[in-house]
Amino acid sequence: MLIRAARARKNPIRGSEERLAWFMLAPVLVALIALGIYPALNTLWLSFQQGGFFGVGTTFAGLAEYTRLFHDSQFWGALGFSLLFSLITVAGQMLFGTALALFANLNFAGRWLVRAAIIFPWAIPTSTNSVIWAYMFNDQYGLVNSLLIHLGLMNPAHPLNWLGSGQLATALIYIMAIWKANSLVALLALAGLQSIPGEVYEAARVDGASPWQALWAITLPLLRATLVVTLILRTIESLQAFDLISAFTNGAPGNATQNLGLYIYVQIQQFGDFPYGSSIATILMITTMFFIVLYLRALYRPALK
Amino acid sequence: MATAVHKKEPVLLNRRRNAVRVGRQRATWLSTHTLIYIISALILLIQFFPLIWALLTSLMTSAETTATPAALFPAHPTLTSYLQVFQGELGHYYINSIIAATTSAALTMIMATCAAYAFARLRFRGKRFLLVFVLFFSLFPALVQVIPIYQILQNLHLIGTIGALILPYTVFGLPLAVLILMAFFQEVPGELEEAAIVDGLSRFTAFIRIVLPMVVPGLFAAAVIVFVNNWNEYLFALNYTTGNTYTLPVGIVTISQTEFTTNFSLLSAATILSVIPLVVLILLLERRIVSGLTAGALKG
Repeated sequence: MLIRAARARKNPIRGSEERLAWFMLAPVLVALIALGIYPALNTLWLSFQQGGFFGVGTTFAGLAEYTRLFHDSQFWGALGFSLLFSLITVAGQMLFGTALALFANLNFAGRWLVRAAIIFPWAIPTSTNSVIWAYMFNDQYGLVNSLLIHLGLMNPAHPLNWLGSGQLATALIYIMAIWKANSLVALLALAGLQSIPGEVYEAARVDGASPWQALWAITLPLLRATLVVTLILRTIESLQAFDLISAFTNGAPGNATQNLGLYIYVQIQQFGDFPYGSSIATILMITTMFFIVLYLRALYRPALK
Repeated sequence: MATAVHKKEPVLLNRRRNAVRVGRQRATWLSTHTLIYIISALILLIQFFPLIWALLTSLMTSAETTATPAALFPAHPTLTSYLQVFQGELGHYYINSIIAATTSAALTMIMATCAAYAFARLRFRGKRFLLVFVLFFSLFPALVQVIPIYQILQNLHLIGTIGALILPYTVFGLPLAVLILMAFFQEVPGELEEAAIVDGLSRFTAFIRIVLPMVVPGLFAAAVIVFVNNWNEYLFALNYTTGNTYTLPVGIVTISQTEFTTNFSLLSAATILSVIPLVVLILLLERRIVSGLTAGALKG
């Protein structure tokens, strides 16, 4: 450090470059610290408080809110929902997203339309999309029941109340989440596929490998790095899910579809209980942090070697 | 190896075999192509399904949208709902969305461009640490920040104004924009800049006049991605806005969740209006969005 600093002082060009760098970085760093680091520490601090209304009049309480969490069955329900949701939807997204990417990487006329279709679910607002889906599965005015009735598969007198059943609603949330985020997996995998040189496949064909063998022996192993990074990114985001469920079932029926995000929101907005909301948020932050560290290691290990 | 074996075989036999092979190839070619188009059609249907349904509903009369079982096609297509959207509150939300998303995207881009250039082209101490810091923040849960940022905005007296959205949107767009732009800056050859500096330009002027014009595609990709994220943002908008500063995503959900007065036709029209600009943007910029997203997510 000292030697480098001395060198920087001796070399005026190097010194001015360093000054320029800090000058250009300053706005971003200040912004990220002000609205990133400070709020995170503040959340942690708030989680050790108690009471108050919308953050006014809280008192220090040590680990009281965490003991409360431990005995709160709603919290455990929400945590369970979040973890299961993450596990199932990310698996589905990886599977379908990769399949979509492999397909969109084939060479055929009209491929651009398929690619645009693949991007589409990413671009539609999650909340707006959930509203449309809720309408599609509305028991009275919904498209799905209407289709089933028109096909003669459902008795019009007894329409199925999709969102009224905890299990059906949960299944629909899984399907919707997989549909919505296939896009990102497919986009990243598609870029990974394009970086595999064509000669590799040429060589495989000369050696007599079938396309199916080439997929397992060449494509997927070479795509591994991309897929690992995507997997971690998706896991982090699925743990943070909020809009998707909030605008679809809002946790109903009962609390059957309530995840951590919704529970935090309920504590903050309905009860104005900032300390309790913060303690749930802290648990979520720690869980996410674990995956962020994994992500950074997956991303930087190849570079560090 | 395989071709070497063929060369030794008699010409006549080889030719007949080739004819058979070509015939078989044509048959499989045809069937693979039909298969590809069947799968394509299926993908298009599944991906665009909600959009098609919203489009059909938006053209229905409000009586048709509350028929049981639901009408599948509008009997008398009408644009009334679209006119109502523009006259009603949703039009107001539309304007809020445009102001919040564009202003913050512009601010993000200005700040991120400078930072990305510094990361990509300048030598300074602590670069790796700061880069990991930015990357870390890009993954940090927004959900956790809702309460403390609410308190900051409250102290600034911004709650209930568009500023309450512009501030967090600007900051939360930064990491992704920095990562995307960095990848593009790294691809500009360094000699160009050195030549400009030898010619007497300062480092900063060389950045503005020489390097920046070369990364326009990257600027474009990053701007689109940041804009789409802002346009679709829901969590902050839900928490920091009140009735007259709602953005479209919040406005649409709010209207839909007051069950008794839900006008599905109006709702669908609003949805279509909020989504169509993005769909058009995607169709036009598919390639650039893909390259931008991947540049940021993987090379970072």
